Amino acid sequence: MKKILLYAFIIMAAAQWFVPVQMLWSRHRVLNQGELFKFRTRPIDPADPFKGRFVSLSFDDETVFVKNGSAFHYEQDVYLILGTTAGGHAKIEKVFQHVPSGGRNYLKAKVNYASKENDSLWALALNFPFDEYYMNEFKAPQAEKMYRDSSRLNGDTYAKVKIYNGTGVLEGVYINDRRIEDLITQ
Amino acid sequence: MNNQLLRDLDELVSRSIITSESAAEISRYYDAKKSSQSGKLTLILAVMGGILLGSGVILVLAHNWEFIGRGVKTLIAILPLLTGQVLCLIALMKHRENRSWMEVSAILLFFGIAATISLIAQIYQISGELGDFLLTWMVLALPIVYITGSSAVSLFIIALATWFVFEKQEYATFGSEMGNRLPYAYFLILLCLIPKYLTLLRNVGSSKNSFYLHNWFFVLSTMLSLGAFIPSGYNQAVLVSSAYISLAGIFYLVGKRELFHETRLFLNPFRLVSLPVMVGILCFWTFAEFWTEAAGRPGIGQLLRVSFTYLCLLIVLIYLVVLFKNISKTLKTGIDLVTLIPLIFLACVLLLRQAPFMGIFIFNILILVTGVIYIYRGTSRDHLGYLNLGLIILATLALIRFFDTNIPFMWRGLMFIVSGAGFFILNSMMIRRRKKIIEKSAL
Repeated sequence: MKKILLYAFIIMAAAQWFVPVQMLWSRHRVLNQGELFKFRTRPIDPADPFKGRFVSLSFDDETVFVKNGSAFHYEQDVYLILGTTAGGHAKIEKVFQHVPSGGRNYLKAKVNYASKENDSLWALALNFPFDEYYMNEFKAPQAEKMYRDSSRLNGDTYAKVKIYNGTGVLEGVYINDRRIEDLITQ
Repeated sequence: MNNQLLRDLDELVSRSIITSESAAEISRYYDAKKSSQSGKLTLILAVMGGILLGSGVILVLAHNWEFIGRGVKTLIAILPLLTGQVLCLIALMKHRENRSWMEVSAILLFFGIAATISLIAQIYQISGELGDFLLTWMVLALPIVYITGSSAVSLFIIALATWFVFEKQEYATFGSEMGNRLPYAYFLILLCLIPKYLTLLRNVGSSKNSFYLHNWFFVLSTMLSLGAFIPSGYNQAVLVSSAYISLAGIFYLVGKRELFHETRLFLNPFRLVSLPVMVGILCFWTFAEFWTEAAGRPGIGQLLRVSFTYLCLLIVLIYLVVLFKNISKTLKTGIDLVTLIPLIFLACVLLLRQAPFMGIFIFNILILVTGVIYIYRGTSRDHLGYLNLGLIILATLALIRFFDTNIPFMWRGLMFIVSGAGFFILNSMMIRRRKKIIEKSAL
């Protein structure tokens, strides 16, 4: 009986390690091998009961125009090929319903809604998978204020995201090329 | 009082009132009782300590200590899980007979899982839905219940499963693709806990508190979660009410089982929760608006495309099976009318949709009779709980009729006076009767 319990415990412990180790491993791979993009963003400050305080990021370029909007539905997985604007920010170039072939780097996102703009065009609102930026509990509320102050002066607020094989990992949130945490410390 | 009794033992033996063997037996009995009570207290304190310690670790780490580097943070992040596992292993190897050790180590491991996953997510900026996190946590924590035998972790998982349903509910909208993607993982989690519940049921003599707590958690969780399963926009009062009243009917029949005959009313959540739910639904349907709204709802074809409809039908079916099994058993002893409330409700809402006044009349009478039944049970069994439950049912009926403009003020006033007077007169009668019995026995 003791031996069976011990074996069961070992299996359980291994399963319990699998989740955090897998999270760590996949994030390390993206950070090391991913392509860097800058997404224009607007941070606001909520809280998670377990992970602590974070700034919730909504992105300026989360909407893309498509012709076949009725083919998409809420929570559907879509695959985005990203490009860069003249200002150096990320923009969605193409949307696929399946993993794109051709070896180009892509980002997996979810559909929020599709609304008809005119007879041939639909606006497809998407949700990027990196919309929570965890910060120190006292600094997160200040981050939102800092963004508001900066946006009044037309400041450039963006999130640096590494993207690799569909996964995106947030590296940091920046206002006018300076990390938001450093600005708050000042 | 026990100490006084023990002090008197020598005197009782010396005066030959009891033998020295009896005195020794009495002394042994109180020693055993004392040690079992202090064991229970230690267990409760240990469980409380485990819960506070676990939640405290989560909160301290959620502060997000930014002056610590990512590598060191990762090492700190794995500590809660590692500590929980090491303590559990020590408990399993060395302290298997010590319930406090087993429970505390299991609770710490339970919180350790959440702390480590949350911290890794925080350090590496991993966004994610709370519902998915809760599901992962529950799945990883389920084996702890069986490996350590922890009842506290089992109760936590029921609470988490309820939270999980409410987290997922906001995505379900009637008529949309998401309307069918309901959190059915909830049922799988509860099913996984059934062997634990059966073990508690088998050992009900030795683990009474855990058994009763599981009953409370189970009843409240299922009652609350059923509401969260309803897709928003699913305004099907008939189906929703049928599901609720049938679930309450099933619980009421469970609460009538022999196992609960000797238990106090508040230790029987099956009965204590199901009765107000049944009466509550009947009360709703005594308003004409429910009947008129129910008549103008979409056809059956549209409803059959929503999985919640099938869940409702399944609950009704289970109730009917349990009821007919019970009726065949209780034919000789007499059928309890309260067990038939869901059946009468189902028959009325199905057959009397064109004659709502009949339905309203029947439901009013049904509530009245239920109240009277409980008052009768209370007085005949000298049970203040039953008596007041019956009075509360009558008072509720009076209260909802207060808003019914079709009934003259005179009648409504009289209903209030009768139910108010009932509280005073019946309670004082019963208390006086009890006093008399005590006085007689003292004489």
